[in-house]
Amino acid sequence: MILDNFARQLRQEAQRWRDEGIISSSQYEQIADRHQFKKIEGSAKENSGLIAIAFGGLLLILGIVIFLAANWQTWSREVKFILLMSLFLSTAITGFFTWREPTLSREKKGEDKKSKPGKRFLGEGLLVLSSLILGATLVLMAEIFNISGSPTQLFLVWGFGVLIMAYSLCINSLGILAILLLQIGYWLGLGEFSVTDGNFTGGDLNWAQLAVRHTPLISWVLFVPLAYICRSRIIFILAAIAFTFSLQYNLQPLPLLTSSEIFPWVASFALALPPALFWSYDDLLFPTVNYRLFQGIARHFALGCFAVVFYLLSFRWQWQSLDFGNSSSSFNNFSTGFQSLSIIDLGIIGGLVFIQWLFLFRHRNNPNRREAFFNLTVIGIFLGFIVIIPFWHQGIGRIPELGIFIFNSLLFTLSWGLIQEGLKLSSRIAFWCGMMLLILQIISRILEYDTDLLFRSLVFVICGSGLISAGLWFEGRLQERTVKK
Amino acid sequence: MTNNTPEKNKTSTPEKEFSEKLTFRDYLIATEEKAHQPLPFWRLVAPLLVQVGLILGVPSQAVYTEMAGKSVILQTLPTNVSNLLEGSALSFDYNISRPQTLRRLPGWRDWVRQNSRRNGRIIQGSTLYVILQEQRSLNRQFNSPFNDRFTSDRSNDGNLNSRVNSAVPVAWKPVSISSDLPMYLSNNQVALKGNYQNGTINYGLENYYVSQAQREQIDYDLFQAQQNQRARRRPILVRVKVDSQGNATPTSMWIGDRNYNF
Repeated sequence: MILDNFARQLRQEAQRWRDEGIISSSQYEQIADRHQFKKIEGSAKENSGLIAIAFGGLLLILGIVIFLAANWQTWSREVKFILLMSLFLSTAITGFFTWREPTLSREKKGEDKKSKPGKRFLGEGLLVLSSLILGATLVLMAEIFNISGSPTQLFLVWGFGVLIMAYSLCINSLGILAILLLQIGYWLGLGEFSVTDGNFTGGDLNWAQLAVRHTPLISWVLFVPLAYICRSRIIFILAAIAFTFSLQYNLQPLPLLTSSEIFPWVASFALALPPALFWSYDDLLFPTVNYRLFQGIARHFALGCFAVVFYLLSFRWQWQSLDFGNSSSSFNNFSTGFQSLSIIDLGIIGGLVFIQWLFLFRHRNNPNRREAFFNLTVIGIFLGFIVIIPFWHQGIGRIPELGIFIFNSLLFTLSWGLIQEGLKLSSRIAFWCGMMLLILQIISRILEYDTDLLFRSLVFVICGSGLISAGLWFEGRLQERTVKK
Repeated sequence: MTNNTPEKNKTSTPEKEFSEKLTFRDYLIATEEKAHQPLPFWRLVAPLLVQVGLILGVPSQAVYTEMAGKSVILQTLPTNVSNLLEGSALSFDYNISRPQTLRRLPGWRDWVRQNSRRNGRIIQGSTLYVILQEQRSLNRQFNSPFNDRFTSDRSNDGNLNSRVNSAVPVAWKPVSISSDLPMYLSNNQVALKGNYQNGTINYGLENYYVSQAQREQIDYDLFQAQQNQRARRRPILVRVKVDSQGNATPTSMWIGDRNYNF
């Protein structure tokens, strides 16, 4: 609509220029050709048609929903089942054909560029609707057979079904829906099963508990290929988020010393794996991928992970031993804890990280990204500290002061590096992230260590003025550079 | 495999410049043609079949339990039946759902010790098996033929099947608790699997969905019996089928002396 508006205004203006004699009529024709003034009316017609379809569809859906709601109680279960099943299948099939039709017709007519995004959009909407009906049908089946299954199972089954559809049709929105459903299932499952408690003994694990426990692995292995198939950055980002959060919540590394008695290495693994995986991520490891699509995003994620880990571990309470009674461990004994920690996941993801780092080392002479500060050595040092210090603290000897000092300096290094990178590459985002991280660190330390009010105010004033002057300086410098270019 | 020429490159080659400038958008445009190939029909059919399979797979366990299971009668806590009927689902609160009921049984202490944290709280989602035993009672001779007739009556299922019968069965009694499925049980015993959640034990039998017609019938029956105020507050008996793995599915219930078929 907005683009449309521009063409319309241009036509008006051009007509006026022609009438005023600023441009000749042949020049007007050229402009008209370039911006396709003749098609404005046509596209307006198409747009109004689209709006009609959208509104009509909305009313249609509303009507169906009200009809169903009005008669829902009186129908017997068989009728409900048949209705929902036929609704499900018919929306899926009509959705598929509507979605496919524009590409088919384009292929038939050869190089006819007149693709219909409206129809494709409508078909995709129908397919999403059929995925939602899938969930309703699953609920209804449980209702018919009086199964009081848990919502976790419902969402996991539903998400799995949608995921298969997304893989097969390569539709972006279906992929996002599948990830969201599986994540909802995971979070509900966390509340229901309490994964870290060592009660997963013997063979009475149901599939939902297994799925919840292996969510980090599942989300990485299933969602990342989907991002390539759907060519979608959003899916990759969601996959990375799902992976990181589920890994942290399954292992619960913080505060340190939670599981130090039995597994002193858990925290190291949990904290170091995501940034290591993201930093070394390379699209070219997939045999059929020729572009580096997601490496940039993955590296940004890695830096984000570093920032969060350093920031959290720079607090004192993460290092202190817990005061309350069950301080030592929530695991009853070694074997149950060992099982519930999903060692297989850690092994597979660790192997993946290892392969990626090998690949990274082989190609280290030929970095595809301009590196101002964060080169392989710096990242290696970061990772080394994340692995060694928590393990030392838990397994060998308590070193809270040293640990806090090290992670504070790492946080400072990270923010300094970001600022450097921002300056060298003239990247505004990097510079500001670094500045914010630095300020956040200073303020957190001031508030954490109970300092004098006067001192606090002084620090705030210095921070504020520093931020303002640095910001002004940076923006001025950036402008200078662009002017020079 | 790589789009960067390996090894001997200096810091900036034309290819590298290009690959840096290449944005995600460029990639999308470059692969537009390939990605918008019309898909064959089986690309819809295959996942659709999987989805239908998932839908049909939901009741598979319940159907198996109903076919292969053993009939067991459970008793709920005394409840106000008219309150029970307010939603579209009846939710039952069995006497064996409460830890208070199970606390005195043999095996409870062991189970708690195995499934609690150090601070003594029971872990969410812990599994337990309740061993139920059939009760020999005075009207047992009515009871078993009644059961048989009842199972043969299930041909007209789905519809409400309410009858007045003086031979209300007797609920089975919990006799012990176990954290694993018991290997040997005598013929009149059965193991029912439950899950600890927020202070109660769930057996997957808690919700029962009624249609409008069924609810009206129950309401009407209750209205008939309203003279007797105490009749509105009493335990409900639920007949369930329990298979050898301890899974259960409800099949019918008694409110007072009336039987409702699920």
